[in-house]
Amino acid sequence: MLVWSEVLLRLAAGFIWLALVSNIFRVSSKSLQLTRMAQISSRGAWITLTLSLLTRTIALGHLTYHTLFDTLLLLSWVVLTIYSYFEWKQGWAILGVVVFAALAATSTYSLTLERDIKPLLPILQSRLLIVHISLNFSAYGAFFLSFILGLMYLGQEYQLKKKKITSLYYILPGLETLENFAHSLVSIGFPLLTMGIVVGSIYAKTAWDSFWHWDPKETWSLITWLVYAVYMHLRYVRGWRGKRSLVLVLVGFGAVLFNYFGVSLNLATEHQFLK
Amino acid sequence: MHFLAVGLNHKTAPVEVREKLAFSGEKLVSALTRILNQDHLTEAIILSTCNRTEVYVLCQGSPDEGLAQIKQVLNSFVDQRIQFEKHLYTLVDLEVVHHLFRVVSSLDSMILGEAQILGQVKSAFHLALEHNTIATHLTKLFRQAIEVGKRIRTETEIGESAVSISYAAVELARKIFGELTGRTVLIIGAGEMSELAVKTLAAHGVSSVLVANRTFERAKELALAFEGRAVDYDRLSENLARADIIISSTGAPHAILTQEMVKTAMYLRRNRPLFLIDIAVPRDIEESIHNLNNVYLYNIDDLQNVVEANLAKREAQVGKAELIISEEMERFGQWWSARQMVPVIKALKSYGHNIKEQELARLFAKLPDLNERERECIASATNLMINKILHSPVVRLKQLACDGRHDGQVYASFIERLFNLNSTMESEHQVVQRVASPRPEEV
Repeated sequence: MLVWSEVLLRLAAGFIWLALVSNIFRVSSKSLQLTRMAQISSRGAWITLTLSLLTRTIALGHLTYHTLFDTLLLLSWVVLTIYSYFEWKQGWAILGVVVFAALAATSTYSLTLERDIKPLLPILQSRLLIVHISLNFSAYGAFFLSFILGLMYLGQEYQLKKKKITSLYYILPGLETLENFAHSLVSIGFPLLTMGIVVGSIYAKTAWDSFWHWDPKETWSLITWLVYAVYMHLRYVRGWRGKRSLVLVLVGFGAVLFNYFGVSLNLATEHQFLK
Repeated sequence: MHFLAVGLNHKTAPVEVREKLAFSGEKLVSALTRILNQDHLTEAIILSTCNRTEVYVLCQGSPDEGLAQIKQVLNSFVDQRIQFEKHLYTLVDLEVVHHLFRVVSSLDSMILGEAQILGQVKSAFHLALEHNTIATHLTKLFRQAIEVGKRIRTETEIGESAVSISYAAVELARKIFGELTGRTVLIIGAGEMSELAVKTLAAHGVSSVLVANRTFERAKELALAFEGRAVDYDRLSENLARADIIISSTGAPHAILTQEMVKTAMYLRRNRPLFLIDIAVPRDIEESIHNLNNVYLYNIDDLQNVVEANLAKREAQVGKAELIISEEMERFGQWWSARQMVPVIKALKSYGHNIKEQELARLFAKLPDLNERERECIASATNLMINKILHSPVVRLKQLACDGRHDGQVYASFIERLFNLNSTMESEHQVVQRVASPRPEEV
């Protein structure tokens, strides 16, 4: 089973690279064949990645998220799943380029990572933990895409304000569409993150008998949560829209990134990856 | 057999000359008729638009004579005092094909990438079909040209971005709002430009139109035309918040929309994006408004800049279009060379069969005792001989014609000389001519 998972993962990486290349060409030339190729390879990537995750889960007997490798796999799957919606609904080549560039980097990098799973400590075998991780990672995936849409927004906004037409003007979609999608993604991600934090602290209560430890990961989760909370608040209550509102979305994802890589890899935390 | 074209366009001739050589309706048909009345001209199409008049012809004689004949016909339609000959360009054979492919894909147009020319070529073609002024060759040429035009429009972005002010405005609106369906546009002041812009916006989904004008009557008139609503000019600020797009073109000497007014409107519309287009000179809208969050103000010069950027983008597609054209040229060239072999092959075959017929007649005269069956046997044996002898030269000629590395024409003329086919080929042409086009008088 594990062998299958490995084979499928390599296949998925291949499909991801193919999707990246076809989307890059699609940006500068409109061609039906290229579009079809991009769609087929992204579907292929989703199917093989899903199967790879499934076979690994079956082989190990439980959903794993204890190594950097496993978390990257899970996150890639979430991102690819959300992206599929955009591909079906909008078909923006430029979004495909950015998403698949990120996925190509992570999938290729993750192939080099240590991924043996030693028997888990009993404390890590909890259903609550699986729920906690699933909620948080789904939120991260949504935040990642809202971040990219935010970047696209700022690129287009810059063009329209400067009144300097470059090729970006043609490639990037309309501002309000981008903003609405970014907002929808945050609206989905924010409650997921909230629930994820709550479930996490319930688990902490059962494991360590205290809801909150001020572990660096917890602190940074709170900061992330606050940034998105401020964004939601300003948008609903103060009618914040446009550039400054999307800058908050970018800041929020910056916090997510730091929380994911910075904290888990560098700071002393209970949330460390298994080595 | 040659393709010939004679024409003039916006680059070679001023409008005073072009308009004299414009053909349409009856005049077009009679010009076609006159062309086909000339010796050796067997197929003809006239493409006449406001930017060009071009005559495409298939000629069985020498190109120079054919071109002179076409010019003569054109001359007969134009006042003698007008010197148009110096504006004409003349094209022969593959030059004609290349030129037509460029024309149909708008590479030769005044506005690069414009879509009308494809339709104009189509209707010129259909008119010629209808009046039977074309046969195999020009039909094939124009069919392929129309395909080329379509291919270039779908495979390149040559016709994609807006190259007029009103379309540029719509394109910008799309870049700001994404979707235009359900949006509201407010026009302040009436003018040709704002009417055009509103029409274009409405065609792209903008659903409600508000009209403000200093005279309320005029506002009502305009509102009626766009199925919109007239609003009070003096209560402009109240209506600002309702509009997503504002087009202003009043003759006011000073700004009528101030930063304060727009700020208030933005507050009321909860900072949803607002697109203002100022096409008035002197300008109607304070420039500083563009600096407000989520507000985009474009004046006439800005729109012009967008148009220029778009034109540059179209220019960048020319290379790709030329590539498609050379691909198609090659395809057409193969067909054309194969076609050019047809008269030689026919002549070669009839040369062989003439000899056979003559010799058989002589033989049967010498041997009157032969019975029917014996005659048949002899006839079929000689027939077989001729066919077998000619089989491989005919097949090779066709192959050489299609294979781009050889100039099939060289072999054709070689065969012509070796077998002294010239006399037979002359008569062939006349047959072709009769079959190809019904006499123009019938048109």
